[in-house]
Amino acid sequence: MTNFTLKLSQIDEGCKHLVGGKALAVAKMFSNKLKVPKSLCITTDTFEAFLEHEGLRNKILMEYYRKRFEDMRWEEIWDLALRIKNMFLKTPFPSEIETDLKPLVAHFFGDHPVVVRSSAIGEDSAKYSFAGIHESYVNVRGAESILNHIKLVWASLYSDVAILYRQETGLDVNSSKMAVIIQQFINGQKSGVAFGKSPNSNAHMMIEAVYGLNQGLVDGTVEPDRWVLSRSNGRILSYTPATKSRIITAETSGTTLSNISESAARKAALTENEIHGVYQLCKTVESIFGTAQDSEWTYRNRTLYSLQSRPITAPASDDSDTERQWYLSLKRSLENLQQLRSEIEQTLIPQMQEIAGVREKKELSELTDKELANELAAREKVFDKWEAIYWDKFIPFAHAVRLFGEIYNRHMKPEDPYEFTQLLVATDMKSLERNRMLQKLAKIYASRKMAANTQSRKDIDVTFASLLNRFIEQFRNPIWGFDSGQAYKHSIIKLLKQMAQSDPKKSTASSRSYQKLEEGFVNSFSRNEKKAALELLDLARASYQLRDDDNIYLGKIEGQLYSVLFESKKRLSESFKFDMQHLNVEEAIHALKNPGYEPIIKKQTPFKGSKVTVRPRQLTGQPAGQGVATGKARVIRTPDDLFEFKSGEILICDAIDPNMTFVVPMASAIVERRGGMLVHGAIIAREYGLPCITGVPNVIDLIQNGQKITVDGYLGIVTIFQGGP
Amino acid sequence: MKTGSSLEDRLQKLFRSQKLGVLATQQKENPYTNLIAFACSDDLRQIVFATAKTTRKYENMISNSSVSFFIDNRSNKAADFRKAMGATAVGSVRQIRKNKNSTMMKRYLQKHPQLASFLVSRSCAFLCIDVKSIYVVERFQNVIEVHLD
Repeated sequence: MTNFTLKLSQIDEGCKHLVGGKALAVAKMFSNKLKVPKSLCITTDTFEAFLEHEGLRNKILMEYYRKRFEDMRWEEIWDLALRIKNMFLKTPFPSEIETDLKPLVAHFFGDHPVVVRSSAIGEDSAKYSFAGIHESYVNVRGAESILNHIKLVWASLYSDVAILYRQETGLDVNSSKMAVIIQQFINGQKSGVAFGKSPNSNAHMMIEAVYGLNQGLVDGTVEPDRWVLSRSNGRILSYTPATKSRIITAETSGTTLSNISESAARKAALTENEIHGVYQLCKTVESIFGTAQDSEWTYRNRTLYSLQSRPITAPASDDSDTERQWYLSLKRSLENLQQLRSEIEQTLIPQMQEIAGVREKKELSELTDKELANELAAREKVFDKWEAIYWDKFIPFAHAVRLFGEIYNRHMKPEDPYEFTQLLVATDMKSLERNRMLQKLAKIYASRKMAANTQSRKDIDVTFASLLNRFIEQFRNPIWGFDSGQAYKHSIIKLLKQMAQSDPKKSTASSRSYQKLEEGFVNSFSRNEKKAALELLDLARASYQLRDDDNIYLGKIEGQLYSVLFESKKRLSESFKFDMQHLNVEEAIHALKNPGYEPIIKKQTPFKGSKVTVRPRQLTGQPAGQGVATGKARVIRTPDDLFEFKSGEILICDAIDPNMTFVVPMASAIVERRGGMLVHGAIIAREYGLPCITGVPNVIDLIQNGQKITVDGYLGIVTIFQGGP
Repeated sequence: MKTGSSLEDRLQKLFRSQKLGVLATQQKENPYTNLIAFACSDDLRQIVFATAKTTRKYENMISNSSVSFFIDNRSNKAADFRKAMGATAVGSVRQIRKNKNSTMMKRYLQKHPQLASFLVSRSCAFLCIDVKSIYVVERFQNVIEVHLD
């Protein structure tokens, strides 16, 4: 028999496979007379029926296994999650379920707002805690909206965080099942969590509490007051007050973060009586479940509600996977992103511009070896500092685009899950400014041939030289290996010759009409929410633009370091008479400071072929720019390859950064090893309307310069034809 | 990130894991396919199998030694579209002597002990495909050619 819904009174231990750990725990607290919100459980049978409906399960599998996980970057996992979430949103409920569920939910909760919580099978078990892994939605109102949020909770089984967590724990996401518990929303005045056993001592218990709702405490936005109690008698052993300034409260729908009153900020969130109430709750749930619990609770008009309870799981034994932890920390709240934006725009970018704009005080060739070593060390320190800031501040800020994408898709349910990027491209990126300047230079260069007489040709030359110098000053990037301004100039002129002969594509950004999309997005919000929607869009646009510009500025700072490194290599090459191309900064400093020391050079190992010939015929990646193009491949392995670029060629590279995108207007398509829909390659391809595929593993090793290839930007397939150079 | 297994490793695993594959032969304009039990060398350059000499496929191979041989690891589930790997080995086939001490015959019988009496029968031929190329399809659309000569 199929059970689509179960009330708390109908749930017992035998239903665990239908309701999941969280709902079972609530049902147990209910049957033990604890005060819990009125709740209804949507069982895993409903989830299973939904997955079978319209072939959703198979569609998910097709997407989920598109690429091997070991070949995927974090960004690609987010992309995968976004596409799957969109599938959930676009799949309607089976009519037989919707016909029953809608009136039942409407009747059960009436006009009361609810919380829609995940209750996956295996979630909240003693072995695995999925705390914070799956989504819950607070203050949802009306049957239609509740049903939509059920889909969102189901989709969170495939969120980036959930996928990663399952990868780490070896759980198979495709055999995972998700029940949902809908609880009447308790608009708590004081809320918190309690650990029946403190992580630091078996004899202690810990309570954390905030004013308002729990969300701020759980996602780290609001700092809680903390009490440590004796487990045996409830005596308060210590109290650590928080610097209270903010509170999360309910709005018409959802929640909002606001400032707390000064008088409330001075007082502890809980009175002694209330602390005792939470202590009693901990003791009761421990006796119900037979083990110390991690409980969430809230006080409303002096009534203590128990919201959820799970066994305390041991903290992860090692923290070696810092990359993953860093990624999980990218999941930031809107408020957090707004603070980050202000810091980046008002402090960090101006500082970066200032450093990037510093001119050489002294010719590097005039420095002694020791001075050069000191200069190299100083510039490395500056670069390291800014690179760390880039990872700590700028990359997390890029999450604003993701947050916007998720909310856009939730509201608009578009066919194309990346439709939202169209609303972001109407920004003035630094790299587009550089590309426009190059195109202007190419146009002037081409006009020289048409000059009517010697005088007008001279005039053109003067204008060209002046603009070229300005360009070099603004955009010179020594990373590309030019040890002199002259060499860089020659390469630029070579590129301009090529550009002058071609008809470079123009950015389609300014010609598109974004207004309709923007109106549609804003109008999908209620009158009260429209302002917040526009703020989010503005934040995402800032994030999108910065994603390009910060690389340009960081590139310039890195360039300053490389200028000194090039001078160092030049000197050391003369002394030791061997190639210093792969000399690193540390060895250069050591060799410059210690005359006679022969630097150790780690050569890059070339791609090793095996005894058999492996030839790709079709390579697949993520379609990131629509269209089909056939042409010769230009594989970018060195700066020379970039400046050899011919109009109509297909750009094949490891990872495009904004410092490279000036050849894009001449390209007929882009293929990039680095994956993700929001990487620079994908952004710039969409900007110019080019077919683009990202996330093709080892692409620069598998495709050779000059090979004829076809890029299918609809399906994400690169076809390599026989022959080639 | 963990490094993924190499193509060579994955291919060897595929050939080791499968007992049966589809042999494609032809005579004049008539293509023909059969399911056959096979074994192969570690370097995947040789694939051996047995067939009765009275069969259509044997007749076809006598007439045209160019064959292709397809194996895959599908499980007949939706996930196969992305998870299954398929490989087509292309080469020419020749009849070989049945020698119980030969590596390939030992390997064949180790993999298919139930076919021992079938193999030694006088009316059964033991054949070897000398593989020239293997076309590998993974994840629905990823195609790599491995040329062995």
